Amino acid sequence: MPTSSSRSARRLGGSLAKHATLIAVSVLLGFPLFWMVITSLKTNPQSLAIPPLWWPHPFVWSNYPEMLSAVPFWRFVLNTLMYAGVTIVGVCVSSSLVAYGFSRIRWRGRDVLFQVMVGTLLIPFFATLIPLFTMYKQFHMVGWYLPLMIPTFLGSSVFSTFLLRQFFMTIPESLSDAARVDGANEFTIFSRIILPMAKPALATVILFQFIYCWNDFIGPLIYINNQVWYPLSLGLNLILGTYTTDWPWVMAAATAATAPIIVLFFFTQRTFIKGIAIQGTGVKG
Amino acid sequence: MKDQERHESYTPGRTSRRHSRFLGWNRRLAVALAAVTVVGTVSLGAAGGSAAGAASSTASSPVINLTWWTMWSGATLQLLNTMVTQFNKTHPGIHVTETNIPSSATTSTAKLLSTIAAGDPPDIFTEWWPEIGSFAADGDIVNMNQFLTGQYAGLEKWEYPVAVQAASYKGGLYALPMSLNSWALYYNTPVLAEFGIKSPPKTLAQFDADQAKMWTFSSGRIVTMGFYPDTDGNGFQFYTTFFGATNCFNAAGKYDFESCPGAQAEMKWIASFDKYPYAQVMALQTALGYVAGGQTDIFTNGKSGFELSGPWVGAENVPVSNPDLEGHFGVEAFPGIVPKPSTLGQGNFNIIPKGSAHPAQAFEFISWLAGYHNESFVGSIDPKGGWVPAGPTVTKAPAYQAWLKQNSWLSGFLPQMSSPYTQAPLLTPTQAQLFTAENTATANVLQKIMTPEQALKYIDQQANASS
Amino acid sequence: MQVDVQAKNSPVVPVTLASARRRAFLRSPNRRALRLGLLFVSPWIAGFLLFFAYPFFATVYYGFTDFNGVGTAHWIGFTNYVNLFHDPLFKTSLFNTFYYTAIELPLSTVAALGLALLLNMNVRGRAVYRTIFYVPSIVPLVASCMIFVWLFNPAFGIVNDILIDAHLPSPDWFFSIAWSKPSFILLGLWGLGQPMVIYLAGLQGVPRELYEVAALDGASAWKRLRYITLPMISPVILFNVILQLVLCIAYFTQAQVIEAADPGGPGTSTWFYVQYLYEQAFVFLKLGYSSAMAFFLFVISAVIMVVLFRSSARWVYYANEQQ
Repeated sequence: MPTSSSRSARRLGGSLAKHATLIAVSVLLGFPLFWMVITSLKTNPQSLAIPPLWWPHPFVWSNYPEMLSAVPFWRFVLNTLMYAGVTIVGVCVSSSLVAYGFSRIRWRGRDVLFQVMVGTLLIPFFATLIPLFTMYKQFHMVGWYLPLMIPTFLGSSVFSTFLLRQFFMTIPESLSDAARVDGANEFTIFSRIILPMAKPALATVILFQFIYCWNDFIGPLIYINNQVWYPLSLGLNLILGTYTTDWPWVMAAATAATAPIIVLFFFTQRTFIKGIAIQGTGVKG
Repeated sequence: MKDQERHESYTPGRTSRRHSRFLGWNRRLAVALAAVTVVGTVSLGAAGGSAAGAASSTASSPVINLTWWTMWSGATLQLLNTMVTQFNKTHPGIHVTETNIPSSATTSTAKLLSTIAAGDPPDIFTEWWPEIGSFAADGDIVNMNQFLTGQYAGLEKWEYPVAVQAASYKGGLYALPMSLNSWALYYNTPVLAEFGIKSPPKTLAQFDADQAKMWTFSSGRIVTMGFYPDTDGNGFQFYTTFFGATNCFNAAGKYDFESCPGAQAEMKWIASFDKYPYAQVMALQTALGYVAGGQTDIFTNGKSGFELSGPWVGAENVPVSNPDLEGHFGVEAFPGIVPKPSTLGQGNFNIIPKGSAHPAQAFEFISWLAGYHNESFVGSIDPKGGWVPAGPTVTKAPAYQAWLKQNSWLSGFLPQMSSPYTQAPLLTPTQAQLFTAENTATANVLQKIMTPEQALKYIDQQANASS
Repeated sequence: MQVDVQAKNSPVVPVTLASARRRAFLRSPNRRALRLGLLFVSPWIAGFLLFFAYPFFATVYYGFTDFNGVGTAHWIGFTNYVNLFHDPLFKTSLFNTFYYTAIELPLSTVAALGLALLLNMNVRGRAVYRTIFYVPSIVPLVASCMIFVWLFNPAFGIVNDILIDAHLPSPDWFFSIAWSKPSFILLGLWGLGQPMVIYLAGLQGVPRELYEVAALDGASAWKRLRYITLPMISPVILFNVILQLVLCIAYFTQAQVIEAADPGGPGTSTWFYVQYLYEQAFVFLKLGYSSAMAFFLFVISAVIMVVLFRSSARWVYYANEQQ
């Protein structure tokens, strides 16, 4: 019979092993990040030093205010936030509706149409660019964010729809049926029962849509013509020299672009990683 | 009844309480986000709208608005803005708005092409890809011959001959230079001295001997190097004028580098560098900044004795990346087998896309940018960018002359521009294929994947592919 | 319960002949289900018809023409496809993309799942670990590429320093023909934050009671993984695998950034399919040819996707299976 002290010793040993593994992987994954941040605090010649310089003396903190004031940084951030905000609304509204239709109702051709939807991901963006752009031009949508925003209200984010559909599929059918028996219409079931349950999944969708917009480069590059409206991803490009590559500035820009997401992720991860607590907790039959 | 009860008590006790707190939080957060989004969008829209409105403002006679897209950023962009401001000031009937198109991985061509296809392109576009031939052949850009009248009748003669050659297709002029590039040999004086080389080489044989001395390694890694013909992605094409191999066509008008003696000599010379570790050089170069177009390179870093490059290295790269090198380098005409000096004729060109709303005014702008009847202003701007202008009279401008006097190394770049040996590759519909093939061939020869003969054959094959 | 619902609204109909079946369908609640389903899905259908259909079919059409992007497109039948099959770079790029996909897809699935399992453990400070594991996936692309080029630089990178000190072979990574694709695979494995987080969310949804019951029965950790965890998160596995497949077949931007000095190099080892497609379209202005390439890729990947979905019926377990 294991004694309490040996049990707690085992637990301590187990916990040490867990931490050791986590720390080892963190070092592996985090080292390139360290390199990014430390390079952002070097002078240009220092960043090109061979052998590499691991710890510059002193830290060139001025890289950050210099870089940030070289371009209208805050304007770009606002633009990105606007882009993200609008598309998040579009995605939440349309993708949840579409995901519901693909998961909570059984109808003929549902799965085939679902595969068609996922299949639309299989044609690369550049392949369809010319007709796509010409089409948006006909719709008078080119020049601003419209081609990037309006489709999100029409279920264009296959990623979000797919993700939500997978989560919806794991909710027992019995819940919907019970509500149907009681005479609830489908939309009520959707909005009053299913959607509240999927809050963590929705939070995941919101986070990923935000991050997608934050880093989206190609879409805004193609459709936006006015520098004033550039999102951060395009705007940061403005500070990079044409013939010289100022590595500290590139890394400072990357750090500045990443830092807000790090903060956002750190404080909101509980919300969506918590997962859906509903799965199979004792609901039988 | 039972099922609904089960639903309500569905999430176990503790989590449901946290859940309801979240509901309150989330709802407030959602409302706040929505409000910020709406307010932000409206205010940004107002700000953007007023910014656009200010441009096409009060003039009683209609102002013609031109849009200009370029890939330049950083310090160069500031220079361009200075030029645009000056133009707008001195040309009250035209207003130019310059927009930077970020070109990570050359996506700017994709953007340009889609706007041309959709019928709504910018009025001017600065192209640094050798796409002018393909664009001209496909009818994507405007033939400027129609504007070469009146005060512009003398424009082509005003330019350096090679600038016209680089922009002509089937008798039409399709582009005007923003700046031309002149390629010459940089040498790092202290590094040369370290290996006992007292003066830069005057013949190709001397050059080969000198550069071979300067390669040193330490446990398999490069410490210093002499020269490598494919740094900065500038391969075969850039050495063609030194070997008389720039435009090798056969009687039928097809590319024929395979039979061209100059091309053969050149490719053999390039192959003589295959004894150096390709991967090491590429690794060094990429890490030092050649990524998607950036050009901080091995020479600027002080690790190479020689380099073939243009004025921007000395004017921009060195002061920014390695100020210690200033005053310790020189420039010489490259000692090829063809008489010196010569350079490949290429540069950054302005084109007018098909469908531009105001091509005549666009032409007025780009000829002004080139320095035509605008020598003193452009002559004061070019030094700041380290640019060679489109026409020789600009170099006579006082500001430009002062810059030349201050930087003696610059004298290595100008004589080439008027040299009869200086050539530009003739524009053809497959110009882009040619350039790509030349670069691939160079890399393959250096990696011993192809022999020089195979490389030339490959270039011909790719460049002659039917459209 | 399903039966009860049907009984309320209509008589049970015998399923015999096809026409009888059709009549039954038209009268039965299945028609209502169809209408409802389509109604919910209608935003996507509208978006599909408005924004996807034309560009897609235009591209398919262009594949049979000599379109150059701006001028008129002339029909040339299967010429583009014939030329494709004689194009050595087409075959090379197809191979490169296939190689990358075949290795990256299973590796990244296992790695992301492994990382998620690690992060699922109940340890102190796991919010910090989760953040560190996740952040690499959101670093802007150019920066992450250059960081890797520096760290894996054969001339002076720390990775080779360590390998040389340990007397292990030190390859030329991104600049070696044999090691270039594996280098890109490593880069991809660094940025697995997104699938990892989704796996983590899925793992958190596995009810603890199942593990407790299994522990009581004396099941080992491996058995618990194989018979409880994996089936319970299989919907999320399907999701991540499909999305990784999409990313792998379209992979090229990182290669374009890192190998800018020698596109597709060294040799032709990093010419990925979509990169070659991009070159044909926007460097050579051969949009007919590139459209043919796009359609070819689409057909192949659609087949793979359908096979994946079909097979999913056997290994994906949705907890709402109809009894």
